[in-house]
Amino acid sequence: MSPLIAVDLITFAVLVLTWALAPMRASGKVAIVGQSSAPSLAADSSVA
Amino acid sequence: MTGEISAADTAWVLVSAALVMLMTPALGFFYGGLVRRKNVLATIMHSFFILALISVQWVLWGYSLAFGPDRGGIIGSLAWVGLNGVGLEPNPDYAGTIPHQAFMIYQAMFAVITPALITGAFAERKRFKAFALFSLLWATLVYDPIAHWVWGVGGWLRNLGALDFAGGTVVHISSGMSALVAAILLGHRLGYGQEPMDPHDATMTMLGAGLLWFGWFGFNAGSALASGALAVNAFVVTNTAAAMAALTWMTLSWIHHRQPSVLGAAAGAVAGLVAITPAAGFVDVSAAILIGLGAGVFCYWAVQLKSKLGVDDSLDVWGVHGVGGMWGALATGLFATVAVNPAGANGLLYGNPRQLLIQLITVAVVTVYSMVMTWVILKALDVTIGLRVAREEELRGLDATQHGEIAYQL
Repeated sequence: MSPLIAVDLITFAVLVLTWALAPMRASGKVAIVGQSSAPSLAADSSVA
Repeated sequence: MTGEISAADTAWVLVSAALVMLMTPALGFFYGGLVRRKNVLATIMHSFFILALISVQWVLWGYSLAFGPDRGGIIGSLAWVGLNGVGLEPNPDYAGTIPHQAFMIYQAMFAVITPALITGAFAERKRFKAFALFSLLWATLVYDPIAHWVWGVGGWLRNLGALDFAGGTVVHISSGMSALVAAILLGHRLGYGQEPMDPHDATMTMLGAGLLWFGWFGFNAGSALASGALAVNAFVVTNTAAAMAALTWMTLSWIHHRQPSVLGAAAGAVAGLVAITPAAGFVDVSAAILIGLGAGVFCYWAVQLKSKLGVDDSLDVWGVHGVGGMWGALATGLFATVAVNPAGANGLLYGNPRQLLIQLITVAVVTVYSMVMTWVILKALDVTIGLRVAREEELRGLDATQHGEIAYQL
């Protein structure tokens, strides 16, 4: 196995582990996207 | 000298041309969903109009400037104006197993989508007249010369050894960096930072993202210009990088805001597609995963940075295409291997640091040229016909004021 594939496997494992551990807002409140700036791809960054 | 035409190669390149063609209206949907409902038609029209405009420009003079007989490494001659001499026999300089016109129309679709990408930077505030003239001038003075430098026989960056399989520099850095200049010169939309400017239809954006991903197989795998092993490699690494970048962006948004963003997944996929574009014919799948990872991380943070700097690059063309294109071009200098493509070169990780230096030079040259020329074109248009719509027109919306139509009778 090449070193790059080992790095790939570790990276993917970290992503999946993050999903398992990441906090999840469950307020039921609908996020207002683009609230403070642009209607852009950054919209997810401006969620209230 | 002419070669024998391959039916399989010709079929693949024509199908790929159609796939890349679809990307431009798909981009219209992608951008259209992100703007407010009063501007959706005008935004979609930007892409649709450019599809028509550059299709004509390309056969009249664009193809000749980009791929015609070389003049000093800088530009193609006008020998092929109006497709004079561009016939149905193969041109072995570019693709020896397909008709020359098949190569030409495939390249036309790249010339079409590149200026369309820039439109996301000036969405919701640019006069249609200024947009139309800018697109024609930009395609002629920016895209065509850069395409010649990197892809044209005799082009100086091609001779230097630059690797750009499907347009990381020619398409994405040129458009992304030009978009930054356009956003700065046009200034903010009215109310930017003070009132909500929410995407009016995120489902439209997701449809656009899906169609872009689909079309990108033609963009990258079609760039093999033959239906063989190299096309398969490009197809596999393209899908892998897009997927990895989508997962990465979504994960970052989840950590950052405690919810996995739908639009973030779409943006990540596009960033991954951008980043793998220059590398698709030179790297293997293990590199594609890391290129996708890097695209997700770098482009996500570039978009956050843009917001902090207060630049109203409305639909994040710089953050996704400029930064993603730069990462992809440099990653090609890291991960390229002749095991994938003997006609390419090894990158830094395979013992050839010089390739990374060549990629750096190419990125710098394309960045500076694109930004300077875009500034010149926009300034010239600003002092002659004006770039922005009037305040009242912007408040009312571009659909009604520029086109006399509205999108929804609801």
